[in-house]
Amino acid sequence: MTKPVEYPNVLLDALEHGVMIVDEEFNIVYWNQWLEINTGHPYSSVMGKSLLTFYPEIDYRTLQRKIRTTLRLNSPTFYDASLNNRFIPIPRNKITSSLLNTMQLQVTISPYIIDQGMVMIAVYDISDLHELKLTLQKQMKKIAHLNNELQHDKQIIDDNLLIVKTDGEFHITEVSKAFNAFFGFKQNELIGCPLQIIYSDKTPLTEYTLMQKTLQNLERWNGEIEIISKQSEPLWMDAVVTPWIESGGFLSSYTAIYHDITDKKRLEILATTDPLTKLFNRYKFDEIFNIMLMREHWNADNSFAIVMADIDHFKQINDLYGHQRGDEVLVQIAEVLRETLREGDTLARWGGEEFIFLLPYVDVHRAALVADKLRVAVEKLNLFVKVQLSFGVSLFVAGDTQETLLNRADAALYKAKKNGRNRVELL
Amino acid sequence: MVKRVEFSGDHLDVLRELMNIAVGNATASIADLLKAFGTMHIPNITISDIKGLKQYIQETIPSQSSHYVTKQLFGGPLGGEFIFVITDEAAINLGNHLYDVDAPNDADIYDAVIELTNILSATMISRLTEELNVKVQFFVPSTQIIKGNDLIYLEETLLYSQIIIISTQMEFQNQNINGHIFILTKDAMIQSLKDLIDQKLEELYA
Amino acid sequence: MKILVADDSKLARLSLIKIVKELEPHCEMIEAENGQVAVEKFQENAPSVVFLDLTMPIMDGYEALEKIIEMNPKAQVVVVTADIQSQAQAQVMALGAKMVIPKPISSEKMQTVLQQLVF
Repeated sequence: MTKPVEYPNVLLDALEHGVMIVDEEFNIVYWNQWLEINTGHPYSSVMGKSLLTFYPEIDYRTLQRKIRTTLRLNSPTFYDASLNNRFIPIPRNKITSSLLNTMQLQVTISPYIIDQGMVMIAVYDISDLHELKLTLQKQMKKIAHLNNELQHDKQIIDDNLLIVKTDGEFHITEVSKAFNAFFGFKQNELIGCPLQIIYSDKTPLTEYTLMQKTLQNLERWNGEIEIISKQSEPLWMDAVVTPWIESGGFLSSYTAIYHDITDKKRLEILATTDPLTKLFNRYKFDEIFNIMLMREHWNADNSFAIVMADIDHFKQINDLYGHQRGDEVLVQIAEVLRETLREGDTLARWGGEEFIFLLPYVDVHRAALVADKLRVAVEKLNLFVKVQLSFGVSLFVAGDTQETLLNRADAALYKAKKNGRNRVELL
Repeated sequence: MVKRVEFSGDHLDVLRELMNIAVGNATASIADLLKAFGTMHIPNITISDIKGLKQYIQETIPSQSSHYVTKQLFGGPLGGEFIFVITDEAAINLGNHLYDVDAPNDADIYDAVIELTNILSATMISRLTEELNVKVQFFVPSTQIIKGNDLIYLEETLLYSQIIIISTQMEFQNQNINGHIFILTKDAMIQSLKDLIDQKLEELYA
Repeated sequence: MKILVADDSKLARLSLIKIVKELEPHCEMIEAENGQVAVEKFQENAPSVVFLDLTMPIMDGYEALEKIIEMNPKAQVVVVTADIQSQAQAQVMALGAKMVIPKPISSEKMQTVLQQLVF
């Protein structure tokens, strides 16, 4: 039986989707070319036969219900196309992707000739769209899983690491839970405050400027910093501050991670501090001295000096007034020396009654000047007893070692003592 | 800015009566085609905007359950969106009823929800448009599962739209199925609706 | 001939009146917008037929039906409703209605109704 070549047939055969006409018993009244080609069932073999013959596995109860609804309401009905295909299986030829082997169909059942119980069933191949949807769903699941993991990690970081985030101007934008808990701040207390607010005044300015300079170069800075907690108890932190650069190349924020090294620092201080005067001890001084020696290229105009100082007649003070009063004197002298020194100079307790200084960026004149300033400051001290210091200065020259410098300073001190005490000698 | 359409008391009265009839037809069709006997509440008609719609939905649909949400567009001189919302529990019961299995699979449930939506939209919208003497075109419905009641994507473009919200609730006591229906039209369509109602009234007064 | 139409919807009343007038142009149509007015107008006018909606404010159709039958057990009341549920139908018939018909009423249906009840 050949299909009559008439106007409606030509039109329906030109369509890029499948069209069939069936009655309430699923008898096929019409089958267009698209269906012929894609199902492999030619017009001649399907005409007049029931759809059941060719597709026994479809749910006919549901199809019947849909057909009846279409006819009774004179309105189209649809199959759901979001999960599996629920109408006839039509093989799909795609090889490059394997998600679907049969077409995902959009099925619309429309009333055709109602009083003869005939409906038109149109099928559209939406496989590509469906594949995209399935892929998208898979990706979404993956993203949700990754997100979960990220959230988990984020939570761990927030609970355990001391982290502070700031904007480009060092105003605090985020604070981790651990940080707040550790320092005793409330949840949003620090937001909007400048980062400086958590640093103690005791943090040397040089440290600060170094940090700023490094960060301005968009480099990561690492150093030790003293932080004031809410209980105003100073704590030492190892700080790593990292600038974050947006994809556009501009700076957007800073992240600071802190690690508590207070205990380590306390030990360090104990090991490097003289318990009485609270000045650096000899051990620490040696360390600083060593670094200074190796640090820069010193020349005659830009050098550094070692100054050794000794309290005149200290033994007598101890004998006359007792060791306790003697200690008081030491503390007071240490205090005034510390105050008189410039920023950048180092002072340490060298021995029982000896002090030692390290003066960077000086020439011979400046060194002498500074030493004399110190001498005068001690002279002017108004204690229960009169105290004076003798000073020996040695300036670094090419070829000097720690030993040679110390020896020269010592010799200069000896000269000062011999020449009458309460004076400065240079070698 | 879209020109606001004003609906008079008469307009609302007509719309209400038409929806009343539409709802009655729907329950009769469902009884006939799905063999489920239900009751439908008298539809509520509100003219609002997208924020009002969002709020209305939050008040009507519980946020704790998951819902099957089916949306179907209809077009013609009177066009809009038909939305059917049913809890996942009720959807399973519906699948149960239509597929005669204790545990309907996911695909069964999706299709069952679409079937019920088909019948509801076809009866209600067809009745409405028939009474107003215009033709209607139905588009393919689509179903999604949504957790809670976040049914709308708030787009900037809709911020100034005027929307008519017709809503009702449908209950099938025996099968333990309960669903919400929203019929929405906006802006120019509201004017169309008003004009069609005017024509209908003219017809009657003539 | 007098006919009473009780419905809270103006559209419903107008539609019904139009259909009746097409068939019986000389008929006097009386309108009531709720059950209470319906009962009052029934008392005043003694219409041959009452078309009664069920869902009305102040007094609904069930109550109005009861009252009208009480006043005149032979009253010819036709319940017109959007929703035909078998239980509502049974209840209404038990209360004394002569018929229950769905909205909207077609001309043919109206013709049948009038023929049965009036002629």
